[in-house]
Parts: sequence; C-alpha cells; structure tokens
Amino acid sequence: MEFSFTGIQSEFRATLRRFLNERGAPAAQAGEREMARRWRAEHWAELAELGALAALLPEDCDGLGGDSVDAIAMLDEIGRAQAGAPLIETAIVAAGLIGRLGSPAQKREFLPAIAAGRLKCAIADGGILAPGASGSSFELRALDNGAYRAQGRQALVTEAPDCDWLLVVCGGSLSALSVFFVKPGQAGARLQPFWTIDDRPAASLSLEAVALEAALRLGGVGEAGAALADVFDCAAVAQCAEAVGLMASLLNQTIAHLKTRTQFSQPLAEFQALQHRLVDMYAAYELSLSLTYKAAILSKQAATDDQRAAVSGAKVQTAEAARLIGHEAIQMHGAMGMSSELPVGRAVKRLKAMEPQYGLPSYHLRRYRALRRSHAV
Amino acid sequence: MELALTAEELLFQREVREFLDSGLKPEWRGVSDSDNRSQPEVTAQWQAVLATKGWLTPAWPAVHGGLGWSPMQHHIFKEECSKRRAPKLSSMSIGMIGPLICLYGTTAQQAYYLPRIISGNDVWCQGFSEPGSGSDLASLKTAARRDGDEYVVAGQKIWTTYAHYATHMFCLVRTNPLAARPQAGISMLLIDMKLPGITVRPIRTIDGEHHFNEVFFDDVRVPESCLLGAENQGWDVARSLLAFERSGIADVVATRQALHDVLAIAAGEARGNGSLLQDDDFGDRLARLEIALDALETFELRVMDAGPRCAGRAHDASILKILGSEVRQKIHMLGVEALGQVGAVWPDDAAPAHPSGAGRHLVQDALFFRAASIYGGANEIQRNIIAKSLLKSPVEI
Ligand SMILES: Cc1cc2nc3c(=O)[nH]c(=O)nc-3n(C[C@H](O)[C@H](O)[C@H](O)COP(=O)(O)OP(=O)(O)OC[C@H]3O[C@@H](n4cnc5c(N)ncnc54)[C@H](O)[C@@H]3O)c2cc1C
Repeated sequence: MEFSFTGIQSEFRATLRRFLNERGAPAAQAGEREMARRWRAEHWAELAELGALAALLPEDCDGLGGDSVDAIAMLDEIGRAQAGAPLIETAIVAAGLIGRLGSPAQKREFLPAIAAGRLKCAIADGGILAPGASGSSFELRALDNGAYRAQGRQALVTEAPDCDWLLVVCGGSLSALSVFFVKPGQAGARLQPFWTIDDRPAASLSLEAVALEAALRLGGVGEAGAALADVFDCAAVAQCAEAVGLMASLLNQTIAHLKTRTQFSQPLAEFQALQHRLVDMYAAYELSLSLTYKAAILSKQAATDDQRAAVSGAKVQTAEAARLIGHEAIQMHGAMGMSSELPVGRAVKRLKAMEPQYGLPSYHLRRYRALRRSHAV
Repeated sequence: MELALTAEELLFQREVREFLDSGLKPEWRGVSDSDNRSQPEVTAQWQAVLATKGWLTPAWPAVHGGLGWSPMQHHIFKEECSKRRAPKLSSMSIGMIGPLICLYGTTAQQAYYLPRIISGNDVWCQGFSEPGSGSDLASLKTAARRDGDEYVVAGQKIWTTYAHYATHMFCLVRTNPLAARPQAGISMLLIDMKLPGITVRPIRTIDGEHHFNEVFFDDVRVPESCLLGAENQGWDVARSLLAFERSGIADVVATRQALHDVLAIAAGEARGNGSLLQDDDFGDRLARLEIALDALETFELRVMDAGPRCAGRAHDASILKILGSEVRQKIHMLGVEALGQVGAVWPDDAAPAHPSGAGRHLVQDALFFRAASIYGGANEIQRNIIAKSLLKSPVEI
C-alpha cells in the first residue's frame, strides 16, 4: 500500500504547475470570457507539447499510456491553477471511447491528432446518467437501406461551440447505446451557443434527422454501454481531482486572507470562530483527496463493484466538500469574496458547474447504495 | 499509488488470522468491544493468550518485548482483532504507561513494572484531569511535596477511568508551584493505588455504567523511586504519549462494525413495502455516513503511509481524532433512530428487545460514545491545534 506519486508523475506535475503558473491562467482576467477562451486555445498546443493530451492515450497511438493515477496528478494541477482547460472532454472521454471502441483505422486517425492538440471533442451524452434516465435523449433511427439517423436534443453540451467533433451517444435504452462522431456543422445539427457560469463555452444541441456515417461510428450499434460506463467513471475521477485542486486553491487563498486581513486590530486568523470553520474546510478537503486517490487507484484495473462504489463515493464526497469550502471561502473573504475580480468566486463557479457532470451527486449516491447493498449485510 | 498489500503483508495477515481463529475464544468476542461494557476477567484471559504468543506489546521497543512491526503490520493486526471483536486491552497499561516506562524509566523501574504489566498483574489508570483542570491540563493543582525520600501527595483527580480496577495510577502532580511556566513545575509519579490515603469514589455515566471515578489523595506518601523521568519534566513525559499512537485513533474498524449493526437493524425494520434500509431518506443518510467512513479509512491509511515522512503534519492525528469521533457518533445516532421505540429503553432483560438482536447495546454505546469528542483532548482543542498548524506554520495544501 502506498499513496505517493512516482518520480515521473511528480516531475510531470511540477512541470505542469510551472507551465500554468508562468502562463498565468485566465484567473487574472476575471470575467473576460473571450480572453479566457483565447488563452485556452493558445495554450492547448503547449499543453499538447508538455504531453498533457497524450498522457492517457495508448502508446501505439502516440500516447504515453498513463492510467487513472496519472490522470488525477494532472487534473489536480489544472484545478489548482484554475486553468479550466477542457482536458477531460477530449483527452479522457473522447480518447477513452476511441481507445475502447474504435477500429484500428479510427484510432490511427483520431488519437495521434488528439495527442498533438489538433483535435478537440465535446461529448453529447444524451443525459444517460441523469437520474431516472432510461436511455439517451438522442434517438437512433435505422433506415431501410441500413443507414442510421439521429434525432433529439440536449440542453447543455460543454465545449460544443469550440470542438472539432461532437461525440453523440444515441439509443433509447441504456443497454443499447451507440456512439457516433458528428461534425458540429453537419446538416440537421443545430447549436445554440451560450456560456456556463465558469466562463466556458457551451451550447444546446438539437439533431434533426442527422445522417450518421458507419465509418464514424465507434464500435457496434448498441454495444457502447460498457465502454461508456467505464470511461465516464474515469472522467468522474479526473474531475474529482480537478475539484480537489480547486479546493486546495480556495483553502490557500482563504488562509492567506485570514492572515493578512485585519479587523478589530487583529488578523482575522485570531478569531476562533473562523479557525474552527477553516479546520472543517480542511478536513473536508483531506477526505475528498483521500477518496479521489482510492478511486483512482482502484480504477487502474478493470471495473469492479468496489471500484465503482469508490468512484461514486468520491463524487459524492467531493461535491459536498466543494459546497462547504466554496461557501466558506467566500464568507471569510467578506465582500471581497463577492467581487468578480478575485479568483475565489471563479473557483466556486467552476466547482458548481462541474457538479452535475458525469453523474449528479444524487445519481452517485444512489449508485453507491445499490453497489454496497447488493451484498448481504 | 497502490492499495493492495504486498506478498509479505498478505502472509502476515494470514498468520494473524490463523492465530486469532484458534486463540480468540468465541465467548470472548464482543464482550468488551466498546470500552463501556468492559469485563476485566475476559480481557485478562485474552491478554494472557497474547502474552504467550509474544504479541501483547508489539509497539514497545524491541529490548522490552516489542516486535519491530511496520505500521502496516500494526494496522493489519488491529484490523483483524477488531473485525473479530476481540476484547479491548487496557490502553492505559499497554498503550500508554508501558511505552513511557520503556522510554523514561530507570533500569530498576523497567525491571519491576514492565513484566507486571505484561503478566496482567498490574492494571494502570491515568490520573491527569482534575476538577479545575481539564483541557487546560497544565493548570493542575494536585501537589507533591518532597519530604526526605518521599513525595507527599495531596489533591484530587477526576474522571479517572478504571481507577476502581487499577492497581496503579500514572499521575501528573505539581512539584514546583513557583515555576515560571505552569508546565515547568509538573512531574509524573507512578502511584500504587493501595497506598494509605487514597480514596476512590465512583461516578456513574449517562449510559448507566461505572467507568470513571473521583480519586482523592490525602497526604499519600509516595517513594521517590516512583518518579518517572526527571522531577519537573512530567509535562514532556506526558506529551511524548502523543507520538505513540497515531494509527488507530480514528478506530475505523470498530465504527464499521457499528455501521454493520445499523444496516442489520434497518434491514429488519419494515417501512412501507420494504425495509427501513430501502427507505430513500434513511438509506441516503446512511450511505453518506458510509462514504465519510470510507474516506476516513483511506485518510488513515495515507497518514500511516506518510508516517516517517510526515514532518510538519502533527495535526493529522487531530484530524483523525475529530473525524473518527464525529462519524462514529453520527452512525450511532442513526442506529438509535433505526431502533424506533426500542431506542428509548434500557437494554435490560425485562425490556423489549429489537428483533434483529443487533440493537441490544446500541443505545448504551450511542450514549457512551458521546464522550468520544470530549476525552483524549476535546474536539474543540483538536480544532485549535489544527488551526494553529494551518495558520502559523507553512502546511502544504
Ligand atoms: C468517558 C471519559 C473518560 C475519561 N477518562 C479519563 C482518565 O482516565 N483520566 C483522565 O485524566 N481524564 C479522563 N477523562 C477526562 C478528559 O480528559 C477531560 O474530560 C478532557 O480533557 C476535557 O476536560 P473537561 O472535561 O474538564 O472539559 P473542559 O476543559 O472544561 O471543556 C468543556 C468544553 O469547553 C471546550 N473548551 C475548553 N477550552 C477551550 C478552548 N480553549 N477553546 C474552545 N473550546 C474550549 C471543550 O472542548 C469542551 O467542549 C475522561 C473523560 C471522559 C468523558
């Protein structure tokens, strides 16, 4: 049993941290959406050069063959720097689905391009993880000639306006899901762009009888369910790591503020009411980090009930901690915490925007329960 | 990063399991698994089995019977004992004063006391708290005045667990009332409870049991050979206790047992068409606590793994203490809730029992473990310690 990162992982983290610090993540330009968007676009290629996009891809497709522990090392840094780089959509979900389901030709076509930073994806999952979902909101229609069309709507697809490809999950039943590449500009595909509270581009997506090419299908028709479940779990773990990084950043900002801000002729740090609340924030952070580690370690191997329960546990714990830490960080900053000039509010909004992704906490709580109670007590 | 045990650790785990399966009699299991229903006769028998095996004092220095186990080996041993609800050994004797005597005792003290602790001849209690000195322990007033080759002890201790069974007390006393700092005038005495002038009076607790006592010292004459460590160095001696027991503070395995009891109760309690366990609200609250316990378990393993490298992270023990006690209290309270009306009756023979059988002692445990956030350094004091660490020293987050 051991909880430290390897030498290589630590070095990679340090490099990434240096890069993100030097480039000054868009936190400094609070609220400037377009600027933040440009920052992300400009530095995407540099992230690729550092190996951040290749890290988790298979070695025979220009990847570095990293696992879920490599993923959390990376995403923790993205969180700390409040960089909001959309690594998860492309380098984890899209790459993971292509790796699991793609034909050799598809892997050769897409994975090296992802590794090199030339290709970005957005995931239109049709709400398959929404509570009570019985399938994707994108219906798959078979035509007489054997071709397929997609039909349906999704209210929010992050990164859709900035992506090269949409990965659309179709199928009316959770046991028969299919994944297709769709070009955002393809006939019948309509994007209604907007921004999410963390200043990320997003869109609602509607597909009207969109023609789906067999060559752009990942895996067999109706056979993507298992791969989607595994890949979304990896994404959830990575996202927990980004959340943990954001929480670390909020804690550090709050500690610095308590030490420097003076009221009633003493630093806020002297007030016990605040000290004890700070400790509760810190404990929540350590618990989240712990479950994120556990979920990442178990996710290195093939899925098991224990591994899935750990992922769900990490999601629930992280969401709860994020709310506590976010709320308290703003409170302890006073009015300053409300200012859009400060990175505090941006981190809180990023945490909030992430919460429903890859399964709402309520979804994961129920999944945790089901997995734990499936064994006799 | 890796969670799995190594091949050697798995072998060790098997050895522990085999030993426990043969050495730990079924009738001993669970009789004193939560401090509050301790049966000293059973504990003594279990202690003898462990002593024969040589596994009673694994954490002591090797020259005094320690085994040089790795932190993981200690963890495995504790976990397997806890899982089988082995009787809890006296933490005061084996966990506290034994190691202190190894560290600070004279050769004569070590030769006299240590074998008697191992044989179970001597059972120790801890005399720190006083009526006027709880969290602010350094303000303690019980006086030890030097008179020839004796100390004359006068004063009062309170909340002294097991003073009514104990043969000895390790006791903090004030030997120099004029010291510049209150901490500097304190010494630790090893006091034989049979000495004339000692009176022990029981104090009943809200769970209906007798755990702790008041202990009065009426000019008790204690030989100077019973001073542990140097005179006026007692505060440092006591503080070094903190370093011994980093693992197991959170008592995760015992809390997991409590959780399993709650699951069993809830599974047997009808609600609508199903059981209470399937009830959305109750099931969600229980699952949240189970997730918190999972997180705490992994955190404890992280602290253990970081052990030798954990400079500057002394506050980890405080976090384990806070979270361990708070999660446990919440799980107990949920258990009492699950018991329904039975949650409001004393579990004696005449009272209605819960059909699951699991609930029998849960009410008492829930009441007793209300103390877990008070003893061993109250949680507010632990929060002070962690806050100081976060705000006064550079902790890497
Ligand atoms: C079941 C049980 C067994 C015990 N066994 C023993 C034993 O064997 N030997 C022994 O010596 N003692 C024993 N104790 C005593 C225990 O060590 C004390 O209860 C503990 O140190 C707290 O002291 P106190 O009870 O006097 O509370 P106080 O110190 O009076 O505290 C009361 C409340 O005020 C809070 N408080 C105090 N100071 C501060 C502060 N600076 N900031 C914020 N909050 C503060 C505390 O956290 C607590 O909530 C036992 C206690 C219990 C409950």
